[in-house]
Amino acid sequence: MENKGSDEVEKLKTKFMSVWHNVKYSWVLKFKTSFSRNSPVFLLGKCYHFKAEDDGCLTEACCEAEEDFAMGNVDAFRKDFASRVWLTYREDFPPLPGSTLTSDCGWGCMLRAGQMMLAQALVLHFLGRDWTWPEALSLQPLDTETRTTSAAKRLVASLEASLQGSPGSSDSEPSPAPHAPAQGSAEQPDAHLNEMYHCTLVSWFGDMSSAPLGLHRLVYLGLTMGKQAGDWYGPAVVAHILKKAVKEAMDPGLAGITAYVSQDCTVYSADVVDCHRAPNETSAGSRAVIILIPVRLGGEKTNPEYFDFAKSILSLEYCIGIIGGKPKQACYFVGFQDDSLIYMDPHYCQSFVNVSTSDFPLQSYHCPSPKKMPFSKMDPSCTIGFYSRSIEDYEKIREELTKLLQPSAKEKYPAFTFVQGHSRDYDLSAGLNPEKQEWPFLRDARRTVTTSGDFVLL
Amino acid sequence: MAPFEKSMEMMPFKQRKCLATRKDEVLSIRSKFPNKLPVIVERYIRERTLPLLDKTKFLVPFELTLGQFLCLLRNKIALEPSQTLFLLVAERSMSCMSSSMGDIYSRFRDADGFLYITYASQEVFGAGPCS
Repeated sequence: MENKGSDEVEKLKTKFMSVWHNVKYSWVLKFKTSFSRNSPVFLLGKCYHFKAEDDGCLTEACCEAEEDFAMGNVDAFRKDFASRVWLTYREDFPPLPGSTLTSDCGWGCMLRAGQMMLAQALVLHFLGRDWTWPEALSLQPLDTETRTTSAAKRLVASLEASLQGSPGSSDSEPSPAPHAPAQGSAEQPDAHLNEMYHCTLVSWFGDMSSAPLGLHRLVYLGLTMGKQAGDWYGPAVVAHILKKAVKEAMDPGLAGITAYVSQDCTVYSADVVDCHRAPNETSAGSRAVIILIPVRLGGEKTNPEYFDFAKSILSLEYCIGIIGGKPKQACYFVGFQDDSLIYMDPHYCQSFVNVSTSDFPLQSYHCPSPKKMPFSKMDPSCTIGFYSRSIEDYEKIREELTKLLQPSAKEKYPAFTFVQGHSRDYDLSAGLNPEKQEWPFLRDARRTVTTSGDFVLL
Repeated sequence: MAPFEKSMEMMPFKQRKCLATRKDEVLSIRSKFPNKLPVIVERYIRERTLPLLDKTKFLVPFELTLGQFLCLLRNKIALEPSQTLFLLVAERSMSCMSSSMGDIYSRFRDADGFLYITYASQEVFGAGPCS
């Protein structure tokens, strides 16, 4: 009885937290007014202009800079943005491994951002960068007030129910509107197949332990890295967790893809090439590789000297975005306009969706409203992601990124570097013997040779 | 999270000693060890995961690479391979593991003659109280 009582209290606490979050991080719906019509908008390598059709010719500046980019417009941008997979805080899911928590509200944001970046890699892998969701433009706008009001009503209802001693209130969401089948899907087998990939891909991120890339799986994998449900996560540890999740996924659909995490801001090309070669395959078999690079772009703030670099990265179609945030709040950066980053925000608590049903609703996995924030607010801790389809692809990526990283001879301190060879070729600690005198203060502080002024002599 | 060690070590070196003192220190140590570069290694002021090193002042050979230096620090701090350690100099991330300390010193040394390196891991993110 007592246990049941405290479970109820915990449930109410969680519900309160999610309501609090939706009030605290309320969404601004005025999408159209927050984007300038005079500057291009970049979204994961695609460029869009918002000038109205009857605005006359594009300015000279636009023409020369954007010849190579596909010209889009407001609707195309909205459709593209809304087609990206959106993962947010959820509540009322089965308890997480090693925990009684049934919601990640308030702590899971970096994991959610990581899931979004991984989802984009999978979209590139199965659907390509040009794919958009046929229903993207029919998404209902996010309505904070209704959401908050209904959440508050449910909170009150469960409070009343528990006070009356009834066994657990029924707090399931009213069934969401079934999503209409894609227009003309019978005549477009490709569209139907794409929808299957889309649904399957999203289901891999479901909030249940059977989902190979779901929160439960990620929390489980994080246990071996010293993290547990309820902890705050950083972008680097999330990169390592994502890599494990992809590598260990049993689903045959994920067999053709793996992940690589850089070491100390260095991408070892031979290691990436090895990742591309599937283990038991001959020359015919190869896997795609998701390349994840944890970086720190400054001390307390992102050094403005890295802003242009971040922009150039987000202008590449094989970039799957950047997971980072503004201080304490994780988000998934996907683009920019002028000096503002465009991002997807996980700080929105939604109900559990059972992805194991054959026709689960997809609406809550897509976001109609992009958010913006200035580059200057970007936290320096982040992880950059790229998708490389093949070894040939990787060679091109490496070449292009190397130029972007070091645009001039004087720029010798890039955010990360590519190095030929394997990391084991450079492993300085392999074979080091603690008794050897090569590293004076290795493992034994007493070996420090102090001189006047207390210096350690190397 | 590692508890904060409350000691004089917490105050950045530059705040503990005035410019003239620091300059004198560099002159003195360089006359004794002309082949070595004086380097101050300090933890990022808001770092909450990595421990403090018990030594902050190093005399490094010119040709010591950043990779070798990082290896030393990693071993000293005893990190798991999945834990990150970034070296920041003048608000920039040092990522070229093959650069020599000599190169970095000549580019970024302070007016007092020391090279200041900050080490940090990454921030963690969450929008509410833990658990």
